Amino acid sequence: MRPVHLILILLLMPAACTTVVEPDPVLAAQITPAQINAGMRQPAMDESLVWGGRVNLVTNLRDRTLIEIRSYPLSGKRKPLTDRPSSGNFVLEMDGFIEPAELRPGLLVTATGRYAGMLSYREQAQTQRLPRLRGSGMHVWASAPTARSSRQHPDVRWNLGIGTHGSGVGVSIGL
Amino acid sequence: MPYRSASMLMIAILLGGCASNIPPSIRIDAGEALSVSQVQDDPRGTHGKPVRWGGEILSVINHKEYSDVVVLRRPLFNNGEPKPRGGEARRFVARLPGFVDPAEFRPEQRLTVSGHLAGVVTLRVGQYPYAHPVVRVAEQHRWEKYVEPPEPPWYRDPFYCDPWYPWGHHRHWPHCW
Repeated sequence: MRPVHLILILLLMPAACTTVVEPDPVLAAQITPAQINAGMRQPAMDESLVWGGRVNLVTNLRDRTLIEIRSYPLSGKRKPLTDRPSSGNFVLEMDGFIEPAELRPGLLVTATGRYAGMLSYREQAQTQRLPRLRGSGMHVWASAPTARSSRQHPDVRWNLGIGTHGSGVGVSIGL
Repeated sequence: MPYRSASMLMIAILLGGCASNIPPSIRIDAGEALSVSQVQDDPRGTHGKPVRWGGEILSVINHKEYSDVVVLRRPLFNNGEPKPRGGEARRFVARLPGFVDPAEFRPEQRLTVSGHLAGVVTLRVGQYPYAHPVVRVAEQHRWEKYVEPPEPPWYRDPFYCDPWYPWGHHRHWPHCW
């Protein structure tokens, strides 16, 4: 390997370290709960939506479960981007029983469903009106990695390489 | 002579270390095949059958003569200890005689019980009527909150590539970039 190649690689490495996941442009064009809450935009009833975010509260009713979610923009893989500003709270309504000991506050979920108007939602002493999504599907993202599993899949990896058919020694950082 | 006494003492200590305070019915898999959902579907047909179930403690309900510990069922390790996640994740009630202190049987702790099924009891989770299978507990063991075992320092080779190439395993060039 020529020295110029090594220099090129070393110059490109910082760019690899600054990869940022951008919100999906198609999903970002959707109406957000914050826009509904602020009265800026209003979706049609039964409009299909894909919203996701962080679980705040799970409430089990007799025949369905209400999940209050703090929403965030979604990536191309539909994963909530929690490093972005929140796009407002909404309530996901799912049929049947969902175990609240499994769907714990803090977990990330993405749901598909249809807009079903506003829901007067009582949390402790306060009543608030939140957009309601009648869920047809929900994906729960794996919780934050534990200490061990995060080391099995490190964010930063040190590489040491020695080439013999050319000449060169390099150390790189990969994401 | 002092050496002989010391070695006897060492053997006694080592043998003592092998003794376990986990009851055999918790430690040894009796080959139970029943799941919580099977009991919910057929509480009469499964009444009286033996089970060894374990999981996360969710709450304790104290009655006059017994206490019900609500447990979220998890699969068990070979020694009977509940795994931290996975499995059917359904609720059951471990019925223990007398008073159980909720300050001792705390959420996040885990409990494994062996005993016999005694029907179902319907408890509300929010407003949802949830049929909890009841296990009359013969023996039980409580486990502290699960902590992931530390990763040994030799667990992962810090080098993505073999720095000793070409003397180690053969890899095609360029084997690093």
